[in-house]
Amino acid sequence: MPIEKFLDQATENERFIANGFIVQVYNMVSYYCKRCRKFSDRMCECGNFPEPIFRISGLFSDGTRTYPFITLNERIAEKLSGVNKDNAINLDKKEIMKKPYRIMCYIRNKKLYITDVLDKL
Amino acid sequence: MDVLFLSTRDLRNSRYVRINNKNLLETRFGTADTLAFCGRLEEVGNTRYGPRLRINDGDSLSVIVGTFNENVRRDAEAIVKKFRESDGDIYLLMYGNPYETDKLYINVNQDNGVIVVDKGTYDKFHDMRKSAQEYLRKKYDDKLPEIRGKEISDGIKDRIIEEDEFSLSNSAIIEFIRNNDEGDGVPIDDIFKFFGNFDREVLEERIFELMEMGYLYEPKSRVLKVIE
Repeated sequence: MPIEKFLDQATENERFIANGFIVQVYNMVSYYCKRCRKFSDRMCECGNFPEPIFRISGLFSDGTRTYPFITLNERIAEKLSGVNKDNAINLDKKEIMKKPYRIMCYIRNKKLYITDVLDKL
Repeated sequence: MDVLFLSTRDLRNSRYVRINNKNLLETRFGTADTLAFCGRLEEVGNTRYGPRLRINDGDSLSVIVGTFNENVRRDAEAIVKKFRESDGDIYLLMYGNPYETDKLYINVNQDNGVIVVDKGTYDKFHDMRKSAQEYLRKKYDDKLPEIRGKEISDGIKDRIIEEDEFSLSNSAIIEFIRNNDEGDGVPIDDIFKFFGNFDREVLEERIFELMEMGYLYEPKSRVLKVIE
């Protein structure tokens, strides 16, 4: 079982539990064009409208360190936000930022990957 | 962006530094460009620089919101409205940036920089802040013994005295009015006379700014008093 740590204590690739706030939200819905095999805008350069992917990215801080973060899959984004994928586009960023989180995560290349959201603090 | 979780009291032992065009705050817990505060909203006001929100987390802190960001300014205006219409307590989580003229100010200019939270989040924020600060204090005590509260405070004091010799400070204006007010206020012409070495336009601008920020008011035309 991963242990609880401050972000400042964690080492690369180590799985641990962190408590903190989402201090900024960059993006909540991404688009991946399967035809071009790359992330795109809502409409890809090729004219395709890719399926939206519910993926939350932003900045996470526990007061000891601040890291850019990203949720690893749609289930985690749903768990973090409390809304399902279909409603993601209408989600208010402030709703995600107004409470603390207890997360399972790891750091790779100075980026925090959220692999699970545990009980809210 | 680096965020420190702080209480208003922590600002006493901190100092503003500017490095590579960045406004930073040096504290006992490290240096950061963004400061998180959480407190109960106790007063609101409007200034030409944006709404002024005063929160209390044991001590009071006033921040101006949205001087350079319309989005967060709109959020703050909605909070001002809510505060005036509501009887219940409102708690805010804020992400501000330090800047300094004659004293340290916190300004909020990022999207979602002011968020209404509940009392539970307020409590958890401060639990988290305390444990993070305890960890950071130990870390800096081991590694950077020179960054200590007392030394930082002395540093600020020295710098303020140094700056006051060359520039007009807001606190000097406030002090002058306070010391010369015998009850009815101080005529603005007395202030112009006393600070005669400074440009009249700059002085007028400073006085107007202090009124906008809620430090001074005009009980009658061309007479000023300090709001205590």
